[in-house]
Amino acid sequence: MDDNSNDGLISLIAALGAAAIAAGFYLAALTLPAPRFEPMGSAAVPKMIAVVIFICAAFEVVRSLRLLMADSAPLEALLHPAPGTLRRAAFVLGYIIFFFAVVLVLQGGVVPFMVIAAVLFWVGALVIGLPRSWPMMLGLGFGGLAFGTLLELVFTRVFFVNIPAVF
Amino acid sequence: MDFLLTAGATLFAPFPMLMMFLGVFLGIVVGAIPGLSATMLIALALPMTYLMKDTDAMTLLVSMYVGGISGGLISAILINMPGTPSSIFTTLDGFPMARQGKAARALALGVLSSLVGGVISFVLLLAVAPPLASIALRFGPWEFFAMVMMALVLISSLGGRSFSKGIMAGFLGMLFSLPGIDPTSGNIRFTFGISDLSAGLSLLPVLVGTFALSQVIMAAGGGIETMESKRVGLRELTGQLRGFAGHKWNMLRSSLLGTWIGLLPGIGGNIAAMVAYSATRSLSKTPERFGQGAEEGLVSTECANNASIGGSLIPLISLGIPGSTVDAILIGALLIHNVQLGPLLIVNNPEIVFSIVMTYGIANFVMFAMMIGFIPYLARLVEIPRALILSAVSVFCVIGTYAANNRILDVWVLLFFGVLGAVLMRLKLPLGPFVIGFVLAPIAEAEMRAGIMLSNGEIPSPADYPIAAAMLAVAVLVAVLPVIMRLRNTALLKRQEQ
Repeated sequence: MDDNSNDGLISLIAALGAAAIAAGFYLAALTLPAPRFEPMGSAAVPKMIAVVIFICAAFEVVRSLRLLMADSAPLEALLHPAPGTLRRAAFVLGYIIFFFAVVLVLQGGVVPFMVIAAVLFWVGALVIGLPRSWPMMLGLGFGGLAFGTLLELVFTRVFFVNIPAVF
Repeated sequence: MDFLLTAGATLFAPFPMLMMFLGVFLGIVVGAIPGLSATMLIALALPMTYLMKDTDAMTLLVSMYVGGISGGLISAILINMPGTPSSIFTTLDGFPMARQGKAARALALGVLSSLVGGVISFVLLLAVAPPLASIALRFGPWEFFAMVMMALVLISSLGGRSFSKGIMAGFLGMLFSLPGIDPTSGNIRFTFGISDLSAGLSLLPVLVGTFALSQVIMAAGGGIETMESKRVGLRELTGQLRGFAGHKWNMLRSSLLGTWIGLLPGIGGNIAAMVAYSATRSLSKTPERFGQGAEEGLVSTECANNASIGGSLIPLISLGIPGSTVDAILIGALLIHNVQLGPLLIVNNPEIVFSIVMTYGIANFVMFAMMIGFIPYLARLVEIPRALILSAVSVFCVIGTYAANNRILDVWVLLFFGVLGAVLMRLKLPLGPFVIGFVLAPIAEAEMRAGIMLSNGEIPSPADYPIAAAMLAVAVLVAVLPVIMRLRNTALLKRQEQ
């Protein structure tokens, strides 16, 4: 699998993804009211932007399909991913879900920010790659709590930010 | 001149000086740590600038920019890992010099070259930006629209490896700027049922998410690398601050090249460094020494990458067009402070313009003093695990975006753009054009619609607007030329095969 062919698969996904987003905006633009006070209206520019994206996406699809037809190894790699790749993807997905949960908790407005910050710091450091030994986890926990407390104090007492706080 | 002196005098007040020292210091620290960039730091610092005066905010951010670009040379020279993309070419001769036992000489030479590049670029910024702004004051809606489109196409084409991907990223950024109230007609559009979106997407969570949180997400599961840096003493370093006269023409040439390249939209310090390095090598009597620890190579790259900052500030100040991704964030900072961008900036807010210019000039000297004084300690920074820093960055992302407006929607927007940024990076869609498209789309749309209204709903003849027509022609040429060249090459190959 050379770089170019791998680039072909990535470009294909990128082009299809961009075209899908552009299609979503284009369809939403069709529902906008017709112009009344000025010639163009609210829908004209979004439609133009979407059309430019469609053209570029079409160009990329053709280019990437040609690359993939020359070498289909990246498709094989996609269908049978290496264990390392799957593990990494699971970590990324897990981190996004964790972050989502953190924002939900923050939105709840009950848990103090210092706790949220400490957990975010602790989990982030371990997920990114610090060794998961007991001393490290303990150290990160205390460090995260100190960091969270400091941030909570600064943002509530100095910047007067409205967040749930202990102190 | 009066404004310049006033801006200089204002900068020497305690708070702006504190901001400058803090900005340069943080910039150098972040620049020195591989994997963290000045862009990320400046995006993260944006929320803090809400409470500041606009001039103080620009002082902090521009100082971070100067420090961030300069700090990259430390890890480039000591561990062969560029702290920032601008320092990639510094590794070519900097690291071989360190391996030959000349780490102190390489660092001293790099720091001094950064200062020279910055100062020469400062002088050019001072000389070019105001006259360019006075020319741009005669521009109408079509000229502005054409200028924005030209900048976007240039940024998209020159910033990444694939032109169509760059354009796609730029136009995707434009699409994402559309949700909210259409300022021309008053219609609410693209809120997709989320009523809070009718006020539009705030620039801050978009920038922080795209540049900072996306890095944290990308790093998840990436493992940890430990690095060991060489140690350099302060006396050893200061002892090497001599014998630079032989490099004076190289410094001047590379700084001029760096400024010129920085002025072109979308071309960053890395390209400036590459061009200056290539020019110096081709002019050298001993080109074979390049890559083996040639002082000339190191001097040219460090002069050029620092000079490119001044160059990229020229279109920002005079036209309101970002010359680089960091400039797009600086524009964001100005928008947050309700400052009107474009050529009128110098008329309506000369204090901001001259504060940016003077900060850039003085920050280079602060950077020089700090780098020389702190390099023995900064060298150890490269050994801090990246996981620790990025996890702290994630906490700053959350509190920074929330604190700006006390609005939880901004944290959701942060998460959305963090994930989107990570996906774009994975799909090799460049982030620079995406963010610049996001920043420039409202200007492009407003100017285009104003232009159409002025011409009673008709598309005007290019002869009526020759400057706008020329700029659009450049944009089209940049877009079409690579396709023509590729088709021509394919036809040539086919002919050769036959």
